[in-house]
Amino acid sequence: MAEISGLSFGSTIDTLGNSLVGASMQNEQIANNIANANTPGFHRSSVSFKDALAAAVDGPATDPDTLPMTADDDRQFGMMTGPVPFDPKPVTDDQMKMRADGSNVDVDREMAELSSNSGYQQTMAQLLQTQYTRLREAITEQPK
Amino acid sequence: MGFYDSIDISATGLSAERLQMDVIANNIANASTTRTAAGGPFKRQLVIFSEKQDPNATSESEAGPDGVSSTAGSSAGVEATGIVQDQSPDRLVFDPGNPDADARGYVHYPNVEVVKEMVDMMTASRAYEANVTAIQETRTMGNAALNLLRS
Amino acid sequence: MDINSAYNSAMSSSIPGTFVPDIAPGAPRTEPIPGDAGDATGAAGAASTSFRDTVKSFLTDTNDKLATSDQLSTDLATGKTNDLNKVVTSVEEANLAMQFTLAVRNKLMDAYTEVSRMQM
Repeated sequence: MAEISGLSFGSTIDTLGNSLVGASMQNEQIANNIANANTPGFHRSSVSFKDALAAAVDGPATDPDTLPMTADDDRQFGMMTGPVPFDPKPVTDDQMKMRADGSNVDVDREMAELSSNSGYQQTMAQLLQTQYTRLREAITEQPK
Repeated sequence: MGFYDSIDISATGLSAERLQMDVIANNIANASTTRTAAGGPFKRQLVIFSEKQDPNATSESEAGPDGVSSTAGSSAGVEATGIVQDQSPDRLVFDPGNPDADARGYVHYPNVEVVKEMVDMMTASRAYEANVTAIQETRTMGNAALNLLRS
Repeated sequence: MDINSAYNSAMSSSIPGTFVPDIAPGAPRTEPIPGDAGDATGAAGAASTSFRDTVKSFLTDTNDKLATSDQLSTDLATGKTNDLNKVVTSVEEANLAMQFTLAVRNKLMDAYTEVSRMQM
């Protein structure tokens, strides 16, 4: 992954690695929400790491005020914009309806989020392992 | 509709059943309350549930293998749209000596039938468990799909 | 892309002297195995053009499968798709295609080494 070392084995491996990082950040936020389920005035927070991941994959959004470079042939170079770094931040959710004590944590939703996040993490880890296996096959020239 | 959406839908079910439990517990606790802030006896409350529509989903028509087309639903679970009071008449008990008796000597008690509330409570509890099972089964299905990759 | 036709084409061009028609896979052999060298070179020449095309289409196919599986994995990670089954089957298909390519490549390399070691 690009942040850990300068070597990159491809964008898919970077994306999957970043998804694991994002998922564990989300896990932390959910655990915090559940721990504070009964704290009066507490607002739940979450990390929208999937959006940050999509931004890092697709590149920066085009600014509507600038004229983009157009190319009418595949062999022409396009504008080389730098890659968007993967940088998700936890945000506090003030939108959800609050209970009488001012807390808007719904324990059931948090538990379901935890389960969903955990499943996502397992899936990404498995897909990442598949990527590494493929690389190893190509390097050692032996089908696994 | 996918793997992670179904867990969100089950989560809405969990929240809804928990709210139902709160309302039922409130009804049972106030089964004999004759004075409320609004005057008059406590009135039994019930929760109105409605199907939650997913604002992001577009309705898709898919033609099945035998040509039968079905519209993929855009529903995203259940939500509670309100807590209303049951308008059935109060339970009247003849007790002229009671300070809450009206002009004819009847005391107005809440229209809460404790036995019915207990049955509703069991229903809500079972529904909650069913939603939890649904989430667990969804996770199991996902793991089974992942097992394909574990060679 | 048929496994049989690929195997036949690979074998026919790497081991001169055998001629397996690769027009229709599974078609019965109607011609006898040619004995003289001229016939073999002609047959090998005709077969080697199709061998290159076969290998090219084979590799393109495998590459397409790999690209599809990468794209679907990225879509699943960013949340663009929620269809876990499609992603898993495409990844598994790509793995199989990759392993098959490696196996065929290893067989070809072995065959070439063995042929080049033959005393003439």
